[in-house]
Amino acid sequence: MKHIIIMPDLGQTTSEAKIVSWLRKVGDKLTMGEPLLEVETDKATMEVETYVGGYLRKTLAKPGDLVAASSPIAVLTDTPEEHCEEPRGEPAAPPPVKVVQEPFPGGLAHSPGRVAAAPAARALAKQLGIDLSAVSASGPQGIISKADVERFAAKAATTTEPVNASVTDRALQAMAALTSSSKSTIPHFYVTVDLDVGVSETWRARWNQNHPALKASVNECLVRAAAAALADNPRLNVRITDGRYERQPSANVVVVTGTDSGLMLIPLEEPHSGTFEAYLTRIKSALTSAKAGRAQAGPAVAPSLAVSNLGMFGVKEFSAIIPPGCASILAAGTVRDQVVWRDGRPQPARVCTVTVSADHRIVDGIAVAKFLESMQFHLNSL
Amino acid sequence: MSTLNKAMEKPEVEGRKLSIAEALREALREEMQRDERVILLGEDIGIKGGFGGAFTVTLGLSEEFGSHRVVDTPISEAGFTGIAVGAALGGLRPVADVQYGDFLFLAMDQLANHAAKIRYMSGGKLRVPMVMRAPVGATTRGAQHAQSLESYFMHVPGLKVACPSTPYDAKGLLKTAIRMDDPVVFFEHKLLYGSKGSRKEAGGLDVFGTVPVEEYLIPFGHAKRIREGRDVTIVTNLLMVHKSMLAAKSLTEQGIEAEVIDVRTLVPLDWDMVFESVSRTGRLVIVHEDTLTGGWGAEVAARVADSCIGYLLGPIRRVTAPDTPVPFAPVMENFFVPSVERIVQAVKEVCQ
Amino acid sequence: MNPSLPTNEQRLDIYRKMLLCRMFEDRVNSLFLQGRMPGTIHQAQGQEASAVGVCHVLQEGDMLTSTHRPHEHAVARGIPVRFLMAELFAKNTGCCKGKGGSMHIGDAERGMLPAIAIVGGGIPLATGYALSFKYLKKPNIAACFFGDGAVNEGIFHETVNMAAIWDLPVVFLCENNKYGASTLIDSVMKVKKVSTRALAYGIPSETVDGNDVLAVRQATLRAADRAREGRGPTLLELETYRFAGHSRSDPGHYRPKEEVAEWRKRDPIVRFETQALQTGLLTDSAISDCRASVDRELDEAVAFAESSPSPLAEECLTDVYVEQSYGKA
Repeated sequence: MKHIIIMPDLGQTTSEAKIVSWLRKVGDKLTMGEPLLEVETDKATMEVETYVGGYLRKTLAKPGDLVAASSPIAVLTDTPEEHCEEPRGEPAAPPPVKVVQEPFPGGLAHSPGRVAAAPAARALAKQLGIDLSAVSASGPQGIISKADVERFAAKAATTTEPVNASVTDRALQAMAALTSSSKSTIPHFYVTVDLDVGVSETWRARWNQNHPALKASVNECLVRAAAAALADNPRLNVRITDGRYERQPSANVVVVTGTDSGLMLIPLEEPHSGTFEAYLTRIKSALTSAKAGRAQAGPAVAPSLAVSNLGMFGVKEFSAIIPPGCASILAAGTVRDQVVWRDGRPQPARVCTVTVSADHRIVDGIAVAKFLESMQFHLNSL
Repeated sequence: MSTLNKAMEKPEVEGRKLSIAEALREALREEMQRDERVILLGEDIGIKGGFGGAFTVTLGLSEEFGSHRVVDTPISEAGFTGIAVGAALGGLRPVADVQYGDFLFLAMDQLANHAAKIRYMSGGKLRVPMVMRAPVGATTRGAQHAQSLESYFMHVPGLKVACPSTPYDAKGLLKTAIRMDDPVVFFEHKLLYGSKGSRKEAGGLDVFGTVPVEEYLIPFGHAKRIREGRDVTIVTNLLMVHKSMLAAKSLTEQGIEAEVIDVRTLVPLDWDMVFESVSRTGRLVIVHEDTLTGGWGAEVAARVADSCIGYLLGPIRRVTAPDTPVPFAPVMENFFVPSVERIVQAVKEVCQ
Repeated sequence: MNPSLPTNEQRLDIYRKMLLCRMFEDRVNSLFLQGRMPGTIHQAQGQEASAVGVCHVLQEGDMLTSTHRPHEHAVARGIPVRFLMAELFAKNTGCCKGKGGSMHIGDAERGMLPAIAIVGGGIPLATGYALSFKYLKKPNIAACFFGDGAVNEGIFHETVNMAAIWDLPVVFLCENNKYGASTLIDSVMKVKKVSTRALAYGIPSETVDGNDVLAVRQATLRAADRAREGRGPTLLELETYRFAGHSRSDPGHYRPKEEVAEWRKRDPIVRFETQALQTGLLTDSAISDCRASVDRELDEAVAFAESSPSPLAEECLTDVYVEQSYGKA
């Protein structure tokens, strides 16, 4: 039987030892415990005994060699002549792998070529259609935050560069881009008034009775009256394009309407012109087209006033955000019965609260108040 | 079962087809031939005419090396584990084993308080070069012969943990474990042994793999990417490696390309490979047979949530056993052990 | 191989070692009370004969394992007291580089495994050493100290059984000081003597007066020879007593004052001195010279410890693994 003698682990700080000399020679018969060789470690020079008896057949290292612990250094056999092939050559022993680990690991593992963004930032960027590689990260780890994306969006809206549209939901994207840039750049102020719709509502009821196939809604009356008032108040009939004020020759209105895919802005050319019947046909056709997702025919219309209505939901009053380009937006609530004090006594009245949000760079409160007075007049003159 | 074989059949190098049991046996034999200090300790491992341990791994070794090197112990898991620690301190390189991983609890003191800590408490002057082998996994034997226990030992500083899923990995990792100067807990899955004859495991997979004739070693801390993919990273071990590969096949048909990483060792764990993969795919699903809470998947999830937060496109999901003991009835066990369908479902949810 | 009976020179060495053990413990107690030492300590005053009698028989290469009460074992085994003191002071010149502390002192290169604080934990480790000695055909033995409480741990049963069936070269040494912490041994064991338990494993045993250092030495020598000759393990029960409480925070109210007083009369050092004065081995002046010498040795040890550097905080991260480290690459 063959016995392999290995270098024991003797060092204090290392597992290597240098062979100094062999104390026995090949062919010698050894007894267990006999010193076989002398080695030098980082600590001392010492003898290494064989832990098994037998005939020394091979020495596998020579004096001066530095040998790692547990490497084979000699071969003994029980009988002097038996076969002893080479032990498996220097085995593919992995050197003590000095794996170094962080005791408290953490922090972004940088991956070249990939954009790092916090999950909330990714979600917002997707919603706004923003390409993350264009956004710079303000945090120390280089991870784009939600705030970074919001900053980028606001900046993009105030420049003429279009918001990068790479998402599927265009309507949402549009609304987000428009409202965020509007609210951050236009100095809004608000004027609220209760319009008396008693007369106009009576008129509308009669119209609907006479025209069952072409009924008028509250909003359709308001839009008509607002356009007429806009025509009477040219100071409101202004658009801002590229920072330039432009007085508009015609009183165009844009109607905010809800569709399945979100809010849409439906521009109408001079809603106050022509017969009421012609106007009604026109507006209904435009709204139907919009809801069906079809683009409108006709030349482009540049409105300066927007109209938004939440009355069908019972909302009493609200204020809206001016669509960029317009000078103001009129937000109408629901028609409601109310007791008002008139001529020294309480009387029932039908009112509708409207709030005009206006761009204070273009108009002041007095202009808006006068507009609203006109609107009340035109409502009563339908 | 043959479909699982095909999933794993991927000849890496020239060699012969061995089962995991055979590959482990070969590793033990080679290391015992190479180094006289390697001895085996365990119950029923060397008995003449016996079965070579509960899963045939040590079959024939006592005839070749003698009963002083293949030591049959009484039923004393704590005792022989502690003796293995002492023998390792005294200069031997013992490879002990328990017949079921569940019995490791009997030896927890010796592994966690002694093997893991003596080096540290001695100021680095001592080392405990021992290996403890343990079979894990549910096999319709009931709750005390079925657990997966990797996370208990991953949690003890001072221990190394390995969990190979193929014959090639089993042999290379066991040889490294034996030559390593740190104490190693070495997990093997009962259904992956491929044992034959009277010890054949009902429901076991025929996991045969190519094992080279030439000697090779696999270092710890190197995971294996067994399938490339762009949409999601699956990190897994042991039997779940094979189920994850089947799931990946199914997912391809549904347009999702999964990348599958077999960790192979849990301490140390190849964090670089995991982070690189997740930063590329943006999605992570971890699959293990261990129970959910505190399973090793939680550690991977926590580190990825820290180091890859900037690249994640969806939540990190773990597919595991529920927080219950392992049930006996097959219908319940099939619910308990993660199925291919559950893996597929989790990946689809994470990819939405 | 030691001769059967110790020479006079050896007896004087035994005496000085016992003094060193006792005065070491008293000095550590004092330092602890002064707040100059962190942690806690478990002291063994009164058990010197057991520690010194056993260690006197051990040879180089033999391995001793110990318990949470290891100070006197370490001193008796010959570990220089300055390295023990430095370890108790948590300095990096300590025998465990400040990583072990009171309950883990020891130095494997000097023949004592860093002590094990889990009750009974050292028993399989000593047995494992014995297995390696037998396998590697070394002429060494393992000696395993444990207390009366440990014999009720399952690990005692499993390990002694395996040592017996494999005839391993280990000596099991039970220091029976009658108390496991505050619990009297009679209340946790039906048999009257620990040595009776050896019958269950088929190994020989002896109950010895643990406060008679020469009797301890002789019994240990018999057991050690048995082990070295390959005839297997022995269980020795050394009946002794600790004067201090279980730990520093224990005033020991569970022990009757009369019992403590009775054992004080059997103080192993006083007994030895009394006998040595009678035979002329020692004189009064020799005794006081010896004490003075031990005092100086302890003074040097304390000075060494206090002037040694503390380990760096980051050393917490070193020596966990051989093949892996924590920290910056």
